[in-house]
This record gives sequence, structure tokens and C-alpha cells, in this order.
Amino acid sequence: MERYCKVCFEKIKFSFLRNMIESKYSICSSCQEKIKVDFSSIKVDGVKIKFLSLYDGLLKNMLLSYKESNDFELRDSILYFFLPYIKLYSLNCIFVPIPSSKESNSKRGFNHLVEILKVHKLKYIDALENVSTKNQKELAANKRMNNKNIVINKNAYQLQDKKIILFDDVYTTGSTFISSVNAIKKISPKKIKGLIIMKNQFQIN
Amino acid sequence: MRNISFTCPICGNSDNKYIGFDIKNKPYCRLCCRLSGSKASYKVSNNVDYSLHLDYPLSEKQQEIANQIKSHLIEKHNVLVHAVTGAGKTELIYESFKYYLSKNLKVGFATPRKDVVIDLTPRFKDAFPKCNVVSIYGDHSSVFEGDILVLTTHQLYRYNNYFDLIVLDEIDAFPYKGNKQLETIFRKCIKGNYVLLSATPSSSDIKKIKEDNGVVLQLFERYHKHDLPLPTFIKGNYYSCYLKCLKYLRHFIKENKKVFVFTPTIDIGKSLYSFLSLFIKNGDFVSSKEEERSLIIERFKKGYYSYLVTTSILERGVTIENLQVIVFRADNTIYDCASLIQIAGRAGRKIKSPNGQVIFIGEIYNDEIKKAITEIKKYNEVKNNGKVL
Ligand SMILES: [Zn+2]
Ligand SMILES: [Zn+2]
Repeated sequence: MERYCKVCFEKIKFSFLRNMIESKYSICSSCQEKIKVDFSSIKVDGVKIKFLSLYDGLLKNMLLSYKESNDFELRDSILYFFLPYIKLYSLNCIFVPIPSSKESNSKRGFNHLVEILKVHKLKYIDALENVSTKNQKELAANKRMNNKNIVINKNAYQLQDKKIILFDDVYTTGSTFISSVNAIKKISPKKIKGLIIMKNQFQIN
Repeated sequence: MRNISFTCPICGNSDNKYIGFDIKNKPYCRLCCRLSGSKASYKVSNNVDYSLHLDYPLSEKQQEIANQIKSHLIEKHNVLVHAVTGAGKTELIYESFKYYLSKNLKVGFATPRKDVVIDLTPRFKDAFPKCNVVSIYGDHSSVFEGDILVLTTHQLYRYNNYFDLIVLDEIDAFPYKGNKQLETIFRKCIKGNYVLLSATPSSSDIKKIKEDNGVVLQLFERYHKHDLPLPTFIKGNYYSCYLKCLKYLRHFIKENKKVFVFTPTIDIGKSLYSFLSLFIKNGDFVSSKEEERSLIIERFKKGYYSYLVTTSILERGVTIENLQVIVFRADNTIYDCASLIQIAGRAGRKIKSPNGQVIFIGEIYNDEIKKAITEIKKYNEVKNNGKVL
């Protein structure tokens, strides 16, 4: 059966080795080339965060189509390119997705980060909860900084003495990340690192 | 991709490659989920003043067509207006808009291209000073209701069975042309009647409208009443095409005229520009990829440049005084008869300089070029002799 790129809808040519091996994924090589790789890392509150790309271009559009326009099919295309690297980075670790507000999850009908981890069979535990009532977007940036709204839930105890990776899609002010770190520290995991798909370069500095 | 029979209720698409499955494994249309957004609600306006204000009166011919459009609409006919480039198509529907508005009916003006929406909105505001004119396009959509809606064809998905009169401009332009999804979305937004505007309608466009309770009206006279510039074909080989292009460009610039040089692809454009710029300074190259496109065009209008090498991005919309047109490699398969007519129509649009020159340069005098020249000749004859096609 013919396969089409989930991003540009063009027919996928079977010249690309990985496409042949992992036949269930569907992003063509020319779309993959358009994704700008930008590995970088920073340290926040003693926790190292790894970024894969900048919040820009095709990858940004793909993420927006996925989580804002509910194009569920894109869940396996966003990280596809980075997968070999992620598997190395997360060896012996358990992913903990940074939670969005309940409102945006229920509006969307799915938890976008959990679905990405699931489709790539990355080990995760949904251990954090976002208890803020207002949508993040509507809060002013300075208010967001002080808004500690992330708490652990009953799944969190399974992470004791484990190496964990806090996982998010976009890093903007870092406030959500910091409050996730503070929450997860309570069950004293063995190690905490971060993996965030895209860095919003205009908001850092 | 799985094989499934599912038809999108919004756009009518049933091609499996555009169908996805959501978390509950239900099919959804991947084209329309991108068009997600609020749908417009049908609100009755409380405006009562729909007076029309025109800076320039319509020409006799324009007035005649405008009246015909209105009376056909009153009789519930659809209309295709075949008007040559530079005829002043937009103004033709003002009278009809006024008529519909005064009856508290919904009107809209749709075009495939966003820059045309941006261009036309202030013109509608000038013509209907007391009306709420709202423009809606990709990254500029927050208000969806108003007296007059000016919008891209993509945005029509917000309006279901909504418009008592919808005008669709440039039906022959990308991305509307040949796009089934947009055509379905357009069909669905119509509640009453529609008017199509085109400088180069295809024979299937004409056939379709006649089958859909419609009529074709022709306006082959430009606003300033002069003939359409008739293109001249200049034959050359691969290398001499470059030299001939340089020769005509030099000639025009010597006469103090502005020039657009159209090229079929970005690569050909770049190579031609690097050649021309060796001999003639103060030009530039524009393509859809150039970020500073609008800036370059602005500078051109102000007279900083005397020529621009461009891809088809400037094929429509831009009106510049005293403009001459060269089409480099007019025999390239990228050009069809319709696009050549459009490009030729860039020349001689202004009242002050109604007689522009158009040069087609190529290796082969092919059928599309021949057809384009014959069509333009025919328009001029009809206009001058009052013949009806
Ligand atoms: Zn692709
Ligand atoms: Zn659809």
C-alpha cells in the first residue's frame, strides 16, 4: 500500500533507510530535512535541560497543528527525527510529562505529551498534575512566574529512587519547569533531568 | 493510512491520504482540522446607512455591466464576469452590494490570495464609508461578522449556508484553481447567489456557470478605454534570449520606463538577474521566497529601482505607472495562455500611461503563446467593433 507523508501529504519514496525499517512512521525525508536541529542545554535549579530544536519553522507548525488543531495523526511525526538521540539520552530513565491544565487537555480530548511518549513506546509515568484553573496563556508572564500550580499525584511514589526525565514541548519562561522540579523533588528520585522539544528563543534572556 | 470510506462533512474530501484517526479511532479530515476555528453566526446588522461613495465614476461600459449584474441577481441568476485586466472588476459589484445590504442581506467578497484581501479592504471601506468592512485571512481572523466581509477562500469554511451574495474574485488563481476542497467550501457558503470574476475564465468555467442557472457577462474595455497591449514574440536560442532580454530592457530604461521581467522559475530568475545586473544597475530580484518582497515592491513604486526581475509572484494585483513587461522564456511549460494574458495585463494600466509594451522572449513560438496573443487581439477587436463572441 502506498504511504504518504503525514506532514506534506506527498508520496513517500522508499529510498530512505529508516522509512523502510520502521515502516509505520510517515514523514518524508524532505520534511525531515526542513526540521532545524538545534541541540543545546541549560541548567535550571540544578537540573540540566536538553533542547532539540528552536520553536520555529516546520516543527513549530507541526506542534501547533497537533495540539491546537487536534491533528492527532501527527503524534508520531514530531519526534520521529530525534528518536535515536532520545533513546540514548533516556537510557534507564522514566519520562514524566509536564502537565497542561485540565481544561486544555479536556478541550483537546487527549494529553498531547503522553500520546507522543506512548506512540514511541517510551517508558513514562504520569505523576504530575496541573491544578491551575486559568489557562496559562491568559495569565500575564510575571504572574505565571509565581504561580506554583504543579503537584504530584498518587502515581508519583513509583518514581522513588528512579532516574527521571521531565518532558515538555516548549520552553518559554521556565516557570512550569521549575514548579515541576519542585513538586517531583518531594518523592526524592535518584536523578532529575529535562528534555524539552523546542526552545522559544525570544523569551529566554 | 488505512482504507476507509469517509467523506468530510465540511469539504467533501474522501481521499484516504487526508483522513486521520483520532484518539477514539474515529476518522476526521486532516485538511479541515487545520481550518479549525470559530464558525460565524448569522447576525443581523443594525446599520441603516449603506450609501455608496466613489472617487471616480464608473465608465459607461462598467456602469452597463454593473446594472446587468444587479438585474441578473434580482432574478436569482448566478453571474460570471469575464473582464479584461485593468477593466476595474471590483467596482462592478458595488451597486449589487448596496442593493443586498439595504435589504439586510449578507454579502462577501472572496479571493484566493491574502495580499489581495489586504489590498481591497481599504477600497471597500472608501466605497462604503458607513459600513463595517471586515477582512478575514490566515493570521488575521478574530472578528467574523460585519456588513461586508472581505476574505480569502480558505476562510469561507467558517460560513455555512451564509451568504446571500458571495463574489469570488480571480477564480483562475492559485490556490483556488483546481482545488476541490476550496471549491466545496465555496459551494457550501452560498445561501443565495454568487458572482465569479475572472480575466481568463476557462471554457469549463463558462460551461459550469451556464449549467448552474448562470450567465456570462463580458467587459473587454479597460477603464481608460485604450486597447490592451498586444505582446510581441521575440525568438532566440538559449544564449541569445539573455542578450535580447538585455537589449529590450536597455531600450525601455533609456525611454525612462519601468520594467518587470518575469521568469518561469526562481533559478532562472537568479541567473538572469545576475547577468542583467552586470550591465544595468538599480534593479532587483523578487520571488515568493524573498522575505523583503513587500519592501522591494514599495521601493520600486517609489522609483528607487528601474526594473525588477520576478517570478509569477507579481503576476496579479500590482499596478504601476508606465510599466513595460518582458516575459523571459515565455515558452516555458509553466506558463499557459491564461497566465500569459494575466502577465501581459500588468502593462499600461494607468490612465496617464495606457500604452505599455509587452515582449515575450523564447526559443519556441508555442501554442500557449499563440493563443494568448490571439485572445488579446480578439478582446481588442470585440471592444472596438462591438462584436459579440
Ligand atoms: Zn513531507
Ligand atoms: Zn475536510
